[in-house]
Amino acid sequence: MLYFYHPGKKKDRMKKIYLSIICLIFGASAYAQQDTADVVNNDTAAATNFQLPVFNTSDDELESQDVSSLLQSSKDVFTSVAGFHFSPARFRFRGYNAENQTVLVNGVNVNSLETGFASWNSWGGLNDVTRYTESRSGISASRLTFGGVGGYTNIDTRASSFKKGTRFSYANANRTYRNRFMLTHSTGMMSNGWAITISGSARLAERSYVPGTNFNAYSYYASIDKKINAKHMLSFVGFGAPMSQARQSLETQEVYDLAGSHYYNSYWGYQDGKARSGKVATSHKPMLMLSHIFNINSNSKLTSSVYYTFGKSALSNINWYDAMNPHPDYYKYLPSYYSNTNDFITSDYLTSQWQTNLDVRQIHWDEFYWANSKNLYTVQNANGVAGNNIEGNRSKYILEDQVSATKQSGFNVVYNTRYKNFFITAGANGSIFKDNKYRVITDLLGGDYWLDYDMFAENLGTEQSIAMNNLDEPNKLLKVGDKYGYNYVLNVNNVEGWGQVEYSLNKLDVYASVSLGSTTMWRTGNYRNGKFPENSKGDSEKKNFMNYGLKGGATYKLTGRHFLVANGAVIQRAPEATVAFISPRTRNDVVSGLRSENVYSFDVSYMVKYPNLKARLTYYNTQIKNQTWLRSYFNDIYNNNVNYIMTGVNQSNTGIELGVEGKLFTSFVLTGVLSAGQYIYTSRPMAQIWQDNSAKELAIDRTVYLKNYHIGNMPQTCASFGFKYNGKQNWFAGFNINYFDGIYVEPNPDRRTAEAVSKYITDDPQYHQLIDQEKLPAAFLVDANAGKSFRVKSYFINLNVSVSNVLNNKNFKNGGMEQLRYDNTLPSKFPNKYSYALGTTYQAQISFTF
Amino acid sequence: MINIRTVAVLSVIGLGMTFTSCKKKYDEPPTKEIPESGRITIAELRAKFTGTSIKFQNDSNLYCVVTADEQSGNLYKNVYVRDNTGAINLRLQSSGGLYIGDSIRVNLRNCILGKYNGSFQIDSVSVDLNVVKQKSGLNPQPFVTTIDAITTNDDGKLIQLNNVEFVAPSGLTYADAVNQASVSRTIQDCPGHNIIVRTSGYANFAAKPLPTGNGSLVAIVSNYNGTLQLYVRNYNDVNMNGANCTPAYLNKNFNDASATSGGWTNYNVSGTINWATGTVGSADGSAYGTIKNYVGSNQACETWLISPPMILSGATMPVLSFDNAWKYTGTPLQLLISTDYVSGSPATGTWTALNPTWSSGNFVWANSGLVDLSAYKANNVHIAFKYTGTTSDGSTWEIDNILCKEN
Repeated sequence: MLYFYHPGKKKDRMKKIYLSIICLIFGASAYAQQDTADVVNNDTAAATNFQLPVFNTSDDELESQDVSSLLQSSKDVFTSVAGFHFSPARFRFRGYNAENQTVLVNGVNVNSLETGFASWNSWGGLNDVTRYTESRSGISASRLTFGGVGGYTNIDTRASSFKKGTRFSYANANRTYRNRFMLTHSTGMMSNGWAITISGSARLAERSYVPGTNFNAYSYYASIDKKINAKHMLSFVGFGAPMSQARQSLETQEVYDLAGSHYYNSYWGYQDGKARSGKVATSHKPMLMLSHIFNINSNSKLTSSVYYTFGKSALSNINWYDAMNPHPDYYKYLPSYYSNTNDFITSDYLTSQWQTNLDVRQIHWDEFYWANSKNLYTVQNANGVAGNNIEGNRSKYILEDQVSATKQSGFNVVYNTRYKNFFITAGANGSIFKDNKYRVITDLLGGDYWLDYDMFAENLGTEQSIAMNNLDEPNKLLKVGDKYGYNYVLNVNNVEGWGQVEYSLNKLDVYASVSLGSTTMWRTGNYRNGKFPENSKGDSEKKNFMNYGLKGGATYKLTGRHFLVANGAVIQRAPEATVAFISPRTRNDVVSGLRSENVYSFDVSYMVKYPNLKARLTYYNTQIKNQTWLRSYFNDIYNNNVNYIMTGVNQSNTGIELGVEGKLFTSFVLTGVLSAGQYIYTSRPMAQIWQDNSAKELAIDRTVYLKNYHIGNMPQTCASFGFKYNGKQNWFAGFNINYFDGIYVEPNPDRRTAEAVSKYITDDPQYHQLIDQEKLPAAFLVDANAGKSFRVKSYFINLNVSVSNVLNNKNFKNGGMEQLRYDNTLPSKFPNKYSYALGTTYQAQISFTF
Repeated sequence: MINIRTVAVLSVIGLGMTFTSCKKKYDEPPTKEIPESGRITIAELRAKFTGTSIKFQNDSNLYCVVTADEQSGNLYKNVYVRDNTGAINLRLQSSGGLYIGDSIRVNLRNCILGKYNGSFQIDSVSVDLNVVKQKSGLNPQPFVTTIDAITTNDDGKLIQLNNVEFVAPSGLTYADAVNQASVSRTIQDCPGHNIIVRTSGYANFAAKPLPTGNGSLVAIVSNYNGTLQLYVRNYNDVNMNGANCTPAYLNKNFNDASATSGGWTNYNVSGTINWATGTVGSADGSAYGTIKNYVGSNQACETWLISPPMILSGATMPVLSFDNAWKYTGTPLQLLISTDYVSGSPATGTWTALNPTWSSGNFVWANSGLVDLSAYKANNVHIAFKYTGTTSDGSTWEIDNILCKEN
């Protein structure tokens, strides 16, 4: 610790401060000089919902007193270490959902209007052209956007931002992909005023770390900038990233134990000797953007953009009718289903089958083909034509895609101007968003057709129409490519105007921002559902939400090296469109009690900045109120999809962040980072429960006793100690020891209701089995990395190796969920499902720049 | 300046500590509390019943352990439970969900306390609504007792009897699995006390042969209108492989459908009528020995059924017993004994008539009672049944379960 000694006349006082900071942590640390965009993009499958901002780390010491750059995330020890080393534990910045973090591409907000969060898949693999980012975490001033309480990240992808040159890189890894190729060429700003950059990549894996997870992803990008004159520039950017990724399943501990692996995956099986998955995510959502940058004068700038983004994402799924559940991990196929009823003969048999017979653990494609090939069935009045009776093999099993086909067009205008000590920003933006959601048949698996019946409605009534999902096309014989089941559009239109004033004094910087907006959302049904003929097709009621945001903050410069920063924000925002309808697949009914969410947040930081020591300590407190929560799941008891909706969900995210970085002897860098938070629910929401196929509610105004339960699936405490050595010949090596604690299993709200525990007294073991929240064990993970760069003639060659989880800890449960289906007589019948962090993984990369 | 800085750092730390370190108690949905008066024991339940059924209207909670379940099929929609004070039968609204060794809380609301054919029971128990498991996998041990110590107040108890054996088990099964009919069998101890073992035709061991040896049996006691019965929980509860109390001198039950197996002789002094076996009207569900002289018309005959020789010279008090029934007019069947007969014609021996209890006719079965043979403790003792028919009349006789053993 004495190495942090700083020469100068205030050394005694400095020591005290150091000690007070250091005693809070167990060390100091260094951030890795690495392509962090890579890390974020690597784990897309697991982490699309909780990404940290991408940023570019650079090691140059910042001596400037410019406060705005001081607050930049890329210079912040905490954010860089957390972003790089905490993702295996699904760390979320301050415990926030991704909707609280605004992601911009060239200033245009790309957070989904439907879910609230940005999909990093959209530019996956385009690391070379998304590496230039401006990012701030937490509440801050922004000259690009009003933003959320989690901060913002702007990715600058304009051609003129890139230096002239070509970069080729190859990476070999065993995480999401095995091989990655990236190629980028940029002309730089040429003398004729044009700048062109193109980039493309391929990321491929027959099988990545987890069995049955093949991965194919490509990306393309082109940007053309034309500098018309000193004041005007036009910029075009277009990019897309088609990808397909076979998913990994979540399982109960029983299944992991039976399979003998924490990376067991129930989604796949062999077909003709080749692994085939029944759960494949595909996505391709290109974005096109045209911007006009108008430098009005040396103090003022106007940036205007229009953009259009479109495309599809889909998740495949095995559907079945009048046949056995195809999933090998279905609870009735497991030993526990029998041992629960004391049938130990069957459970012992199944146990030995699971342990010894690989076939039992997998999807049986051949059986689907066999079942489909011999199921002759005559459809009466096929396609709605009376007397049109068609005989053929009716598929019992099919493969379908659950598609989300989106279109969004919008504009964004930002005006910046400097006047004396003021910096003023004003902006306006608006967009029209449509998401067409439907099911489509992708493979009949050897059968001739599929009928669009609601398999759960046939016993609701005698009229055949009740079971029809689309009355306009009765008895339709469905082939590959036909849409069926449900087909509707979620529409969201929004418009926002905002402004910000920053004011700088000698000792004090302050800012204040305000935003006003309006969001309108509605559903447009494309099918007339047999159960809701009057209420399923056409437009629903249009829900309009007026939103506002206020934020402000101050940085007080105690000295040139000590800063005190405080920020606060009050935001009212529209609910997500995905939670606005009680059963969006079948009808137009809006959730009763749907209202805007309210966010109240403040943070206080103390920052220290010396050439050999940087530190930040922050306390934050965020209250998010009046949230609406919706989950759909299949319920055995009702034999139907059930929509569980809560309104009035409040949460509190409080905690501290600490990051310290110190340099020793110029070559050693030590970093220490701590995030200690408490992310809990703070209200008793009201629940309503609806079935997809019935207009009658299953429950309404049911109180959920959710107060003080932890928000699950992320570590509430994280710490990291890092050590890095920078060699003289442009090489470095380092390691980080990371600690994670306070990961809770996400609670199933219905288990915390009076109805769930009605037959119990507090002494009954089931009472606590139902309401207690499981905390997963704490864990240590060690990461290591090394790199070297050198020059051969005009080539710059960069070598980089990173190894995650060096000690191969395969027992780290990094997440879990309570099943929404539960049996309150025997809570252990539907146990928690978990995910495990990967064991040792590596990525080795070589790049050539010329 | 230092003060401001220190204060700033400390206040940030302080805020952090205050808001993150305090562990907050989870919310709890409301539940019922059991007042002390809401608990009830089995002894209290049994004392509460005074002749009319009682339906519980409030939350009375019984904590108990399941001692017998439905898994073998011998019990259906029935389990037995006990606590420290006694045992009782639970009758379930629907089958399944409770297993031996489950420790349960039964909220008796809407359940009915009563007696069924003499045994206490709690009726209308819903496993889903009334029963809450506290633990499972316990191993409740039976109470070891003797046949003569069991009383009608022991209904519902899990007991173990040692050194017992089935009476005349040879060739018999626990129950009638084919017709899925319940059957009563008898076990006895060496002193001769006996008790019924009643088994359902649905039990998964109904078709199993009764064990012929001597040993232990674990079962639930039931009172069936004053008659004590035992319910075996499962096949493994019966361990009777040891040596029998005393070997019988003679044991013939006709269950093998042979009149002459085991050394018995059919001898026609006159005529051609023979002893045979039949099952119609059987008392125990299995075959018996029978004879009649009506073959289209009455035939004149004298036919003997002669036992193999018995060595009674070392016996203490040998007794003979058998079951019999008859119908139609004719010369009565005679039971005879000889100590000098060897083989062949019965006329080669000297026979003495014995005086057992005979059936009153009309195929009503009667037991002979214990016929004292202590006057015939010799090395070569035969007994014989002598049947006589004439051309004008003749009875039909049925005999079964001929047993000669120490009293």
